[in-house]
Amino acid sequence: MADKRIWVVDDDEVDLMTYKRVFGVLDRSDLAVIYFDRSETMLDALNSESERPELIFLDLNLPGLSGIEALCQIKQLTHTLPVVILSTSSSNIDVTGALKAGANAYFDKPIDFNHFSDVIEVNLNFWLDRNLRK
Amino acid sequence: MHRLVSDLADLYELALSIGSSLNLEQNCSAFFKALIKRRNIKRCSLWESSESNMERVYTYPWDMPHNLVDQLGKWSTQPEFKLIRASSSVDEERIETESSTTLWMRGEGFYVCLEESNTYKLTPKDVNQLEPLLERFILSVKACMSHKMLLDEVIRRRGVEYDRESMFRLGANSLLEGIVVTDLDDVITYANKAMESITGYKRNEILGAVGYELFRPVGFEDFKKEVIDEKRKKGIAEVYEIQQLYPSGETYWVRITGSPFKDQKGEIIGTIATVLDISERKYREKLLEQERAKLKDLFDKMYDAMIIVSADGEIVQTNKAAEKLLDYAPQSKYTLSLADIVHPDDKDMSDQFLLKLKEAGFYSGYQGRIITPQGETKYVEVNSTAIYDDKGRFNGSRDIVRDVTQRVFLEKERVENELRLSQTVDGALDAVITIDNSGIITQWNRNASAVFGYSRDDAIGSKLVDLVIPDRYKVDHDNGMARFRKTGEGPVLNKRFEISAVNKQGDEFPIELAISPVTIGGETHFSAFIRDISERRKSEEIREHLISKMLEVNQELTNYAYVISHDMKAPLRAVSSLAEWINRDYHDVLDKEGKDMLRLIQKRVRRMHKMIDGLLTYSRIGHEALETELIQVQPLVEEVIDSLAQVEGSFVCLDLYSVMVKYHRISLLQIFQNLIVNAVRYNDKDYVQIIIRAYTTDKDVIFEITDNGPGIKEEFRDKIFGIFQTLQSKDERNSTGIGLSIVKRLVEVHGGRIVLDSELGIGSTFRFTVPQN
Repeated sequence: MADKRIWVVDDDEVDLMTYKRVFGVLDRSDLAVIYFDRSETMLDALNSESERPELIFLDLNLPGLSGIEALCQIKQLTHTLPVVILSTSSSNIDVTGALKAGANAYFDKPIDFNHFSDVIEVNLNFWLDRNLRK
Repeated sequence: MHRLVSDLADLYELALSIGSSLNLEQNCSAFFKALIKRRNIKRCSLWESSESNMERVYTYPWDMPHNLVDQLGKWSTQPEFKLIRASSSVDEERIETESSTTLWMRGEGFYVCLEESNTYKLTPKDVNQLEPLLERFILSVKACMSHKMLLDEVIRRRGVEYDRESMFRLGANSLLEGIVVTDLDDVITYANKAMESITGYKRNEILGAVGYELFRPVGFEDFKKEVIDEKRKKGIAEVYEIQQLYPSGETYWVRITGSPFKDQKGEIIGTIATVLDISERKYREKLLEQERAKLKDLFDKMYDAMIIVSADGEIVQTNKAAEKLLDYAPQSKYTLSLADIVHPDDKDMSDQFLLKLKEAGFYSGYQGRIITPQGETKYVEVNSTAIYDDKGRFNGSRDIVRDVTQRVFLEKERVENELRLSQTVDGALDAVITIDNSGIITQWNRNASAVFGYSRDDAIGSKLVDLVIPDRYKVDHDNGMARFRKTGEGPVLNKRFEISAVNKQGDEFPIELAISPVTIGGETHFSAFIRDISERRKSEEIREHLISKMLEVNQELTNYAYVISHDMKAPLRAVSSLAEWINRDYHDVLDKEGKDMLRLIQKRVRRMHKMIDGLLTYSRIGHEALETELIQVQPLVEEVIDSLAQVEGSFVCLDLYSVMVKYHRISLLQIFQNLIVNAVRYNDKDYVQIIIRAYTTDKDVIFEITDNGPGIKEEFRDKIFGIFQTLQSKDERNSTGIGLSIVKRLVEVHGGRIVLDSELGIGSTFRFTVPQN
């Protein structure tokens, strides 16, 4: 029974493939993952859908509304929804900018698939497992 | 009886004293006064008798009634003139008149007439007693009469003819000169009225006295011997000036012209002298003498040397300053002449000077050299006045000689200094302009001409404000000058500032200016050091432009790094992922070669990823502020070693003790991490050994990381710090080659240096410094 909603916002086709493969490999039946390739559609969904996700993985470099702007809007709607940034950029400007805008975590997108997978898993465990968070 | 006798004795004494006085008038008046007073006689008179006539000589008091005079005159001629008493020398006769009884006493051609008062009649006894007195009186009268003759003679000699009486009264007595006659015993037998005012003694005191005893000449031991007798011996008239004493004891001066006094037979019977009070003259002379002394003193004390030179060039008089100047004592045996002291080279000039002096009578401003008798050369300035004799012939000169040696040297020095200064100023890189306090240009160096286009001749004497100051600053300039003149304050002085100036062509250009006040001859001038900064302005503008451009480019570079991170890493990662998935998904389809290719793709992608990361790191250094903190280095290095898997199995020796440095922590971590990793990575030995130590110098803390690796060839030592440089195949060592360039940059950003010291086959030592402060 899929009771934990995970949203992924990324416009890179290969990265989206990577997410899908990671979640495939993880084989978690409790997770319902929804993919967005634009932040605007994600925000529309967040505003309209009655059921909000438990966790969002957000890219920064997005067409249209940037990741940071999207993050700010998310944080205006809800403080309790954890947003984890996974970006190609490791620049300080992006890191501090994201953290200031309310990002709950920031990760440099690992180039290695296994490493990528580890990052996702760690975050799922941390943000979704209440016991771990406490 | 007793009283009478003593009275007569007094009278006798009186008569004697009168006898010593040879002034008839005084003589008579004194004698008659005494008689009248003591004997109650009403009136006395003296008569001179000749064979046919009786003439009244003197009466006391003067108010004898005319009728009586006439009567007496009549009687005196009558033969029955009755003698009351006759003696050898004096005859007496009493004549009864209506009003009074007159007693006549006669002796040697003179009669004395005594007019009895109404209350007292002379007794025969009285007459007896009066007899010797009268005798003596008549003698004195005769003496007086002879003096009168003498006086006549004196006056005759003076060539003035008066009748006796008036001559006696007016002539002699109205003379300012005193006239004295003495007999051979030096007793004064005559003195005129002027003698009273000259000597301060009354005539009755003077007559009969010995002149030199009464008047007390000053400064003689025995005046008679020393002066009177001497003169008398010579027997001629002589003039002499002596100082005498007034009765009060004060002194006065007289000039005495004395000559022997002879009678008609040519016998010397005494001395006649005229006496002139010359106290005034003497006083003047004394003043003059004092003035002279003062002048002499002044002459001696004069700062300038003064010499008097005779017509033939001999120095005849010198003052103290001259003696000092010439190093010459006037007492010396030798005399000094101009020829001796004029410097040989100045001889012609000196002769010219002398010629001009003779012509003009005065010459000033001669400048030349003299040589003292001791051989010292001195520079002098001479002003001369010619001296002429009575006939107007040149008789020498009076010269004021000023020693200007020091001035000449100072002047020389000043000229040299000025020359040196002007050469210096002329050679100065700056334009140097000096103005006086009214703004007139007094100095204009070569560069000023170059900068402003005006020649030195054009500039000097012009007003600064007219030449180089742009119109809009002219008022400021004038106000500034006026303020300095008024208050001595100049806010622009001694400061460097930039302003505009205008050149001859009227072009305005930027200058750098510093003005300093200089005192020249007690007046304030201003020197301006000016530099045309057009070129500098231009290059500053270019530099600023370049800097802004560079900043722009730098920003672009940073942006570029960012772009690289995002836009290049993403496709790279995609390639990596895709290669991975092909390898996984199509593992069974691919043959060995295909799988190898995919593996190589992944490897290259990873390296490229690292390179991009390195490039990013490198480009960020220096862009981001690195906050430093005090770091204990040993624990930091230990932490680095613990975090590096590569180091496992190596021997690392830390010799850092308690060294502490102020550093950006992450940077220091990165430095050590890179150097340690390198030391391990490129090591070719089985047993890897790394020694890390630190030591301090005055300026730096120096860290050394020594390995026992292969060492690096000399020609590569600089190269290894370049970006993407590695000395071995990249695939072999899994290295991007950017590590050392990052290390170098980090070290340099912190103000240090990094060098490599290496010996092939033995190992390498990286040494980097951290500044102490």
